[in-house]
Amino acid sequence: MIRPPDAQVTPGQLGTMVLVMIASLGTLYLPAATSDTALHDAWVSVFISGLFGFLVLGLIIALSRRFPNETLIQYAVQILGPVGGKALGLLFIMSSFFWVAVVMRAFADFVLTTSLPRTPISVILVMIVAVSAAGARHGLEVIGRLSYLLTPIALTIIAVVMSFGLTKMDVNDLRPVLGHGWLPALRGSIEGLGFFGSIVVFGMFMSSATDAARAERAVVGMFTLTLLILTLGTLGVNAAFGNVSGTFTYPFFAFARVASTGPVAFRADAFIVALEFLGFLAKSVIWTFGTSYALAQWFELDDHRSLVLPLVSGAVALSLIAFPGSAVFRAWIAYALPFFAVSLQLGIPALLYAVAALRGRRAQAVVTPDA
Amino acid sequence: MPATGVDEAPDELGQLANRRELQADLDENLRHLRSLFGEDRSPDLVIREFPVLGQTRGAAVYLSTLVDPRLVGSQVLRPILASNSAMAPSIQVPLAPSDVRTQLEGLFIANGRVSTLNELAGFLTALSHGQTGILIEGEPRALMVQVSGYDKRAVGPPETEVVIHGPHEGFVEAFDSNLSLIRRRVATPLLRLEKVKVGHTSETEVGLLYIQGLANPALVAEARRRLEDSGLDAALDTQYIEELIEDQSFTIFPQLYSTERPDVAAANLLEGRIALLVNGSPFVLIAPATMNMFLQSADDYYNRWTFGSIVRPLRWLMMLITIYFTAIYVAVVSFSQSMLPTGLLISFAAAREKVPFTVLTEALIMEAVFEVLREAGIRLPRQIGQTISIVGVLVIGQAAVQASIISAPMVILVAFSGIASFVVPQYAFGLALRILRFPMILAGGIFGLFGIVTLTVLTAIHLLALRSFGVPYLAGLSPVTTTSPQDTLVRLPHWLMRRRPRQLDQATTWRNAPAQMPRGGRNHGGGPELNEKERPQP
Repeated sequence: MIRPPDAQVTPGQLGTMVLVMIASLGTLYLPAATSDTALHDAWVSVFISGLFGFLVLGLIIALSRRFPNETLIQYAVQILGPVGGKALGLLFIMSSFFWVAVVMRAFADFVLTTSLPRTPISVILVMIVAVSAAGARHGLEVIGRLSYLLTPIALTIIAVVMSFGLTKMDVNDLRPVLGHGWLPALRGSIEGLGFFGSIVVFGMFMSSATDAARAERAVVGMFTLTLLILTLGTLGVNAAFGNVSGTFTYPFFAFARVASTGPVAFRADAFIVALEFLGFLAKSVIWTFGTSYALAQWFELDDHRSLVLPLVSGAVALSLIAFPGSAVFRAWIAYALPFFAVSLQLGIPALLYAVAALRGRRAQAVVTPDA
Repeated sequence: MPATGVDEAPDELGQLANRRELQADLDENLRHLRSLFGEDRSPDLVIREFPVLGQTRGAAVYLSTLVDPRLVGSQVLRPILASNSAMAPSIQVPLAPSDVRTQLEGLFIANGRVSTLNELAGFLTALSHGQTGILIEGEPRALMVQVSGYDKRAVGPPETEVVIHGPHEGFVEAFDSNLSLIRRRVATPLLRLEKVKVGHTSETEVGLLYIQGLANPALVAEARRRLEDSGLDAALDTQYIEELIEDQSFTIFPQLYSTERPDVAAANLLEGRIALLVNGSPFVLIAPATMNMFLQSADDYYNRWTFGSIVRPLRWLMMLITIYFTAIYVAVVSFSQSMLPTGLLISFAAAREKVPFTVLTEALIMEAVFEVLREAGIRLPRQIGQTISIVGVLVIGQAAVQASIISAPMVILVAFSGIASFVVPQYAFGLALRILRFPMILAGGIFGLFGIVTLTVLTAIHLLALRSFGVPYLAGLSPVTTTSPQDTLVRLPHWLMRRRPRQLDQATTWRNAPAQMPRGGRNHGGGPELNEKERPQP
C-alpha cells in the first residue's frame, strides 16, 4: 500500500485543531463561567483566562524548541531523568485521563439538558466513546484533517449566530466597563483557566508537525484568533443581556435563541447545538488520542491503537464514578478545576521548563554518519 | 472412478501440465490438441491440414467462433496454399523445418501481427483470443497469426453518463475498440498500455493505461502489483477488478472511479491518473479516485465555466440534502420541536395529526417504498415501466396521504431527497449516499440532532481515513491541495487551470502555457508555449 511520504500533520491542520477544540466549546462555557462574578465585564475575564492559555502554550512551544522531535512524555525523561521523568509523565497521563472523563461527562450532560432529557446517560456516553475511539485509533493525521474540515463549519455557525444577534445588542449594556474595578473580572477569569489550559495537550502534538517553525506560528495564530472569537462572543452576549448574563445556564445558547433568524426556517439555537456537538466530539477525539499516544510513549510502544479502547472505557467509567450527579460535576468545574488547571495544566510544563532551563538540557545533537 | 465426461477433464488438464511444450511431430501435436478440446465436443475447433512450400506438411488451428473467416482465408490459408505452386519449382533442396517456418512467415503470411511460440499453454491462450496457429511437420515452434473477429456492439452514446454538450461516444465491450477510443483522444506516443491477465479460468485481458511522465511511477507499480497478485477465477466486469485492488473493502464508498466515457478517461490520464480497461466491460476504472471526482460531470468542462461553477456547489448541496433532509425532519419533529418557527411547527403538526405511526416509522416506510420503486423501475422492461410511475404516484403518493397513513410533508421530503440523490453524476457514489440515508434517519429518530451529528463525525472520520491508492479520499477538501481550489467547488476557465493535480508525492506539473487568457485575439499568433522544463518527460 502506498503511503504519503510522512503521515503527519501539517501546520495548518494543527492550527485548526486549536480552533475546533477551544473555540466551539468556549462559546458555550466561557460566558457562563465568567458572567456569575464579572457580570457584564465577563468578556474581560475571558480575555484574562486566555492569557493563562498563552502562558501554557508558550511553555509548550519553548519546550518543543529545546526538544524539536520529542513529545512531552519523551522530553520529561530527558529533563528529569528516567525515574523523575517517568513519574511526571505518569502524572500527565493521569491528569489527561481524568480530563478525558471530564470532557465526556460535560458532553453527556450537555446532550441531556439540551436534547435528550429522558435518555440514560450511559447510552449517550457509549456513542461518545464510539466516535472518540474511532477518531483516536486513526491517529493525528486523520484528526488534523477532521479539524480542517470542521473549522469552516464552526466559524460559519459562530459568525451567523453573532450576526443574527446584532440587533439585540446594546453598547450601553456594557457600560460602565470595569465599573467595579479589576477584581470581579479577575475572579471571573478563574473558572475559565482550565478551559484554555487544555491547550497543554499540544505538548504531545508539536513534534509531529511537518514544519516546526510554521506549526508554532499556526498554533499561536489560531490560539489568538480563538481568543478573539471567544472574547467577542462573550462581548456580544454581555451586550445583549447586560448584568443578567450570568443567570442563564448557557448564555450563548440563550443568545442564539433570542437572535432573529429572519427568513431562515430554523431558529439559530439549532446551529449552536450542532456546533457544540461538533466541538465536544472534536475535543474528546483530540484528548483521547493525546492520552493514548502519551500512554503508548510512556510504555515505549510503537503503536497507540490497542490502548485506545481500554482507555476510553476507563474514562467513561471514571466520568460516572467521579461525578455521581450533575450538581457534583458543576461544583467540580467551579471549585476544583482552577486548581487542576494551575497545578497540572500549567504546573507540568512549567516544572519541565524550569528544570530544563536550570540544567541547560536540550535535545542531544543528532550524530550523522558523516560527522 | 466412473468414466463420465466430467471426470475426464482433470486427467486431460493433468496431461496438459505434464507436457508443457509443443512437439516436433505434427500428428502428435494435432492429436493432443484434439484431445485437450474434448475430441468432437468443441465443434468450433478447426484443424486444417495442408502441404507447405510444396515439400512438407502443416496445419492451421483456430477456433472458428473467435476469428474472422475472411481474414483466415485471405491472410493465412490462401497464401499458404499458393506457396506450394510458387515455391515448388525454385527450391530443389529440402529446407529444414525451422526454415520453412521463417519462409512462411517472411514471404507468405499477409498479416502484421505474427509471432512464434513454443509453450503449449501460451498456444491455447492465443487460440482462445482469436489467433490462428500454424504448425509445421518437424518444427516445435508454432506461428501465431492475429485474425480475431467477433460480433461486437457498435460504439454508441454512453448510457449512464449523459451530457448535453461534448462527445457522444461511449466505451463498448471490446478491448481494442476501447483502446482505440482513448488513443484517438490522447495522441501522444507517451501513452502506455501494460496487459495483465486476470482470472485463471476466464483469462481476461486487463489493460493498465497511463501516460509516461505524468502518472506517478509508484502509482503504476502499485497498480501492476495489485493486479498481478490476483488469484481470481474469472473477471467478468470491472467490479471484479475493483473489489480486488481497492484499498478498503469494508466501506460503502467506491474508491475507484468507473466511467463509460472515453473523454473522461482521457482527461483523467492527462491529470496523471491510471486507467484500467477490462475486456468485456464497457466501463473503464480510474485510479486514484477522490470524493470530489464523483461529484463532477463531464458537462462541467463542456459548458461555460460560469455554469460549471454554479452547478457544482448545487451538487454538493444536493448530496447533503440526500443524506440529511429526511433525517433532520425526523430528529426535529421527534425531539426538538422548539427549533422550528411556530408557523412551520403548526403546519407540520396539523399534517401529522391523523397519522398513526411515529415519524421515524413513517420515514423508514417511505424511504423503503422509494427504494422499491426505484429498483423496480430499473428491472422492469421499458414498456411496463410507466406502470410503476402511475402506481407510485397515485397509490403511494396521493392515496396514502388521503388515507392519513402517511403525512404529506414526509412524501415531499422523501421525494425531494430521492430526486436530489439523482443529481449525483456517478451511480456508484449515489448508491453509497442512499445507503447512508438509512442509518442517518435511524440516528435522527433515536438520538435526535445529537445522533445525526455523531454519525456525521463518525462518517467523516471514516472518509478521512479512506484512501484510494494512497491518495486521501477527501483530498481537495481536507487536505486542500495546490490545485484543488481551481477544480473542486468551482470550475475555473481551462486556460486558468495551469497546474495538473498532484498525485501522491509527485511534483506538480504544468499543463497549459502561461497567459492564455483571450484578449480579443490580440494574444493569438505566436503565443507562448510550455518551456522544456514544463513539458512531461518520459
